[in-house]
Amino acid sequence: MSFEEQERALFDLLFDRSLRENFCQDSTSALAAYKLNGSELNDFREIRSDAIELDASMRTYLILTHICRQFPITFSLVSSLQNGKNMLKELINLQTMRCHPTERATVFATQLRQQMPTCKFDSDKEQTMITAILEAELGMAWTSAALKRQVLEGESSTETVGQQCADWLDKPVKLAAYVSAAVIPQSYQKLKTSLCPCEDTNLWAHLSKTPLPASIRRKTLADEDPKLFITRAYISKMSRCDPTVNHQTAELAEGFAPLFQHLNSSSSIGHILEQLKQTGASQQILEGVQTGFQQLLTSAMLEFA
Amino acid sequence: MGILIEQLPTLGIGASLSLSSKPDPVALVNTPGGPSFVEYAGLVDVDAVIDEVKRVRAAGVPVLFHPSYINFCGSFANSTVWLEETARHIETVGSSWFAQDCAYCFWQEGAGYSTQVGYFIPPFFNQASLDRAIERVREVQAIVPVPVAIEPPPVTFVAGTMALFTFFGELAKATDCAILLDMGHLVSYEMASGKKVRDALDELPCDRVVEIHIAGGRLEKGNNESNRGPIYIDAHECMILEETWQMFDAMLPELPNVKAVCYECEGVNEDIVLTTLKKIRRIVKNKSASQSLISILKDAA
Repeated sequence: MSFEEQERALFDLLFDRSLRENFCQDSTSALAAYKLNGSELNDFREIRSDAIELDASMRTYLILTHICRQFPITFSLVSSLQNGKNMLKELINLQTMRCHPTERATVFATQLRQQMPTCKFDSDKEQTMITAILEAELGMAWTSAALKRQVLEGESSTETVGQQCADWLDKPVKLAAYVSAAVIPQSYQKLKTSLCPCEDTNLWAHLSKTPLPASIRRKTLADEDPKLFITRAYISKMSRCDPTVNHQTAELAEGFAPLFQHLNSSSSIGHILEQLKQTGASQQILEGVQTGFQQLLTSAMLEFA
Repeated sequence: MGILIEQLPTLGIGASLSLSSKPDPVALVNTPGGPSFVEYAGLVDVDAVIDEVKRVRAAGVPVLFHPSYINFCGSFANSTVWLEETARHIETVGSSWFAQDCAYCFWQEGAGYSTQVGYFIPPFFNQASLDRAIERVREVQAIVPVPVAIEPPPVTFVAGTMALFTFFGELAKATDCAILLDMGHLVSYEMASGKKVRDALDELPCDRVVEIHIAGGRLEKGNNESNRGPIYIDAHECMILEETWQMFDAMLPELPNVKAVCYECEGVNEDIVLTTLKKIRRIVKNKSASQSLISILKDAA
């Protein structure tokens, strides 16, 4: 019996749909699992059942508006699936809401990834493509959360500077911190232009009224041109309370993806190129790979080990 | 009363606006009949808003900072870092007092804006909650360099049986803080609780009310089973409801120390803002018990 238990029950009522539904039927029995005395229980009897339902629904809408900014293409695509919007709404649940705000978006999207196989897709390939896009946006959310957490915990975020020197081909390299990479069905910007009809800030407001038509999803995903989408989270506005994180992005041909496993602090780019040469890669491919890695080094997504 | 309410400046009839979107605060300030102060709900970091604030101040009016990230209630303490940045913000922009809704903006350790939980989660109206709210207000007062004013939040539902004005009256007296009353929020409480706020008017230290808010709202139909009428939704972009105007009429004569009346009108058409400010001035002249407020309106006329 404590005020803290009342707070716990209220939070659960706002974000646990089944508890809320039970509460609307019978508030006392719904809250039986909480250690509340008669007076504390009585406080909950003041709550109008229609009002708490309305409150929870508006709250879910506003939180999704917030999370949607980090997963714009995923939200658009999922909205076009049968029951997609409801699936997104149901993931504003206790698992999402009980975690630290910095982690909320990633916990939400991790649950979404687990739920994906329950959706009805046109084909396995379509499911794979949509899941790949979710993975790419989730990667960005993870690096963003990790960087933010580091700054808020008081660790200085050393700003990586693009590296270049005469012997850059011979130095061992590794992926820089807060870098994520995923193969997506086509250029991220192209996907966004085709699938997101408005700015990220207004996107959920739009999708919740007008989900993306399935025909646009099909047409866009049919135009396949896979890319390795690489992003690096960086602090764009430092703050002791609420630092702003943005992402620098780069896109390379899909064929780069297997080369990334060699970026392990022990191999140099020269070594990777030599191995490619031995497997019969053409001069044109070798030049393309060298240019791609050089681009990643100068944009600080790769660094010398 | 320890806080020197008499010494707070009288700001007149102002508007709460977004600093970076329509209607443009500076354009409104420069229009005859425009607001005599600008309130804004900015980010904690003053650097993010200082250029816009400077534009407003250069237009000749003061600003009030009115954020939505402080827990003025509940068990979850505010972060010292956030409070220090708030103090820096207030000092930099010259906000004469610091007011915010008394509600949960964050849960547990996750200091942040109320948007992370959707919007404010209202406090319980009971003694244990009041005790925690006293702790929270004192925690803010210890760091913030100006008088603190607490505001009853908008509510769709009410948990607890203590009357609204009893809760806020006790809180203000225990912490020696000022009060901001939002007319729409009072209407929201009446609809959610089925109780009239004025039934506990004796419990409210009316002389501590320094600011009034008036803003648009909309009504959502309750379901048939509850049979308790509509539910009020705070919606600044909407028109001010008749119930809210009635509350304004009824409360103004009770509040002798009001220094500022703020029309919260983010996203409202400029012509409507000016017409509404005119109406507010007329009602204040006719109904307000605050002589300093009436004087400033007469001087401006």
